[in-house]
Amino acid sequence: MQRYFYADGKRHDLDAVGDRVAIDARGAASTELRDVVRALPVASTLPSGMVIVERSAIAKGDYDRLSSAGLVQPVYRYGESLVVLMPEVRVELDQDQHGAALDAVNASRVRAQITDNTPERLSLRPESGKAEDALDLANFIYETARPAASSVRMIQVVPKRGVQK
Amino acid sequence: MATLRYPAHGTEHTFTITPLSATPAMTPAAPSARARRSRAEGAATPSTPVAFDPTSFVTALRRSEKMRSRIPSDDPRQLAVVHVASTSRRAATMRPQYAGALTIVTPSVIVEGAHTADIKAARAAGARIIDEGFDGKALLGVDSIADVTRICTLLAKRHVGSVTPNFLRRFGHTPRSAPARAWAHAKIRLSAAWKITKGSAAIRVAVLDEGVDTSHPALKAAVVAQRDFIGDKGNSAKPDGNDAHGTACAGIILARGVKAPGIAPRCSLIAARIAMDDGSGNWVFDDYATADAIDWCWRNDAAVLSNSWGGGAPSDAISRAFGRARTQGRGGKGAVVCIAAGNDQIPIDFPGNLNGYVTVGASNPHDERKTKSSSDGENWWGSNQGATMWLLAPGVFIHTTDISGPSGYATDGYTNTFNGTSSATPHVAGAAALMLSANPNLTASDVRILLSSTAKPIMRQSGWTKELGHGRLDVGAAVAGAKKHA
Repeated sequence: MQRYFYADGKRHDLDAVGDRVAIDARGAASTELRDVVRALPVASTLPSGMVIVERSAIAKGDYDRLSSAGLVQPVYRYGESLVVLMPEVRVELDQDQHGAALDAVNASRVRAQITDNTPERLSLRPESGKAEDALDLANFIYETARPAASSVRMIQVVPKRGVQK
Repeated sequence: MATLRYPAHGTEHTFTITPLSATPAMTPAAPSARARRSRAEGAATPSTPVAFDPTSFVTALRRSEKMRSRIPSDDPRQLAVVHVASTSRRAATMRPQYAGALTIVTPSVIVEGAHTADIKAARAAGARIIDEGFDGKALLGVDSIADVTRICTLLAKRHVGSVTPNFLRRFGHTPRSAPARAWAHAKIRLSAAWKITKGSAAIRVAVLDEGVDTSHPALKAAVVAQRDFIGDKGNSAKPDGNDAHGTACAGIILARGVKAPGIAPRCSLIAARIAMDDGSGNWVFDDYATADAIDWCWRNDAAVLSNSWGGGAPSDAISRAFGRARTQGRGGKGAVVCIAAGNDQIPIDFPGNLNGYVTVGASNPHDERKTKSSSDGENWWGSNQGATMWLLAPGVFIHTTDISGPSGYATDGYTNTFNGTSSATPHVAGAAALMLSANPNLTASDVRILLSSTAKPIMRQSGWTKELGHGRLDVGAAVAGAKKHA
């Protein structure tokens, strides 16, 4: 299934990176999976306690347990950058868009908590804790209500801009 | 002394050649950048000799199998050096050979467009085929340098497509040495701007980057606000271990002191840490955190936002935060948003590709657009190009502040080799800060337009181009224009 997001009014495709996953190491720290996560070789350290690891470095049983606990998020590629989606949606609203956006939230198949609700902004978290659900919710709201912006939270790993040698 | 003759471009060329073994053990060094420019302006070429050992040179060449096919033994007498004092029939002028460079004749000849009968004739004259290349090209070996002219003459008379000696060319590396003095300030006419203002503390410049060493002696007096948006440092924007980029960017704008003064050394600094190293040499951004940092900056009265970062997926959260900075910052007059174009010599990426901002490319000391082949010697990067390019600013050999210790670009808290559109962007941010210091009533749009109308056209541009924008930053003219602006 082709994943995508909206920015600047345009649809942008994301390519799945099947050989890597993002693990919520901070979330795992208070669970019995703490030692499993600690033992994983980290490819990239991300903010919010997330790490990117090679999928092949995780034993199948461990992967299933981490997934069941909601500690695994997919990794995508956009150009040269790696993109990790987080289970959080931010909807930015211009005048008179608030009602339509809320209607879209209620009409979505993705059940979500509203964590911030102002005339200018809605913040949402899917109850499943899955980033893919957040992406689907963000896209559904954009396609249904056309707010100023509706985007899933992305963490991006980008080649450094410096060119020192 | 022997001679070498061969046809090229319809003319027969004759050169004096001497055995490589007779080449003096000391040859002139490759020229410095300064010397190259002096030479271009007609001055004499300096020649500082460097050691040259013909035997070692041939031995080094013959480590390659391909070279061994052209150079049969380690004996340097089998090769000859061309003396560039040309006696060609076209022009018998004396041209100085590039210092440190040698043009060396090998016992081999390149022929193109030869028929089977031509090759047979060459073979009968003692040549052999060493290699066959693309598009009807063949490399013929001969027994000695003396045979090169004979085979060239033979094949030229048979009207083959072309026939020339197969030269080896030895060039000195272009040294990546920084100019002895900071060049950028003079180029952009900073002294003219400083006659009007060196900045006002009321004008705050935000540097959004991987952190700034806010305790650096040349920066700490400038700091009025700092915050970490990507990590856990709270109200500190200090970088992690070897993250030196943001400190260098901030210094270009705001550094105090005389060692590497910033462009606006009396303005104030807001440092926002929005990127962190991932442990593998990449930057990590959290788009929400970046958007929040932008909003925090303009809400904290940043008049200018300097963004030497980019790449990756576009984000409306970031775009809209920039939009708010531009329209709502400074009580509605707008904050000036400067964004680096990027360093891959490709189309400008996000967020530099957003319309309506000051997207900055890089220029070099010779007022060229910085490309992989521009004359500054940094052949591994070039300034991006595209429809949003606004202007260029100095982007090589930049003197600025550095994090202290062995993790920085240098070791003494300063560097003179910072580069990239990352370094060009804070030059423009600093210029915008001076313009607003000179005239705080300017809107962000006024500043953007003045930057373009006062930019110096370069490379014979007659108007805006996607590579050069409106030209190269002239901060002297920009600040004067700001002062006069109603």
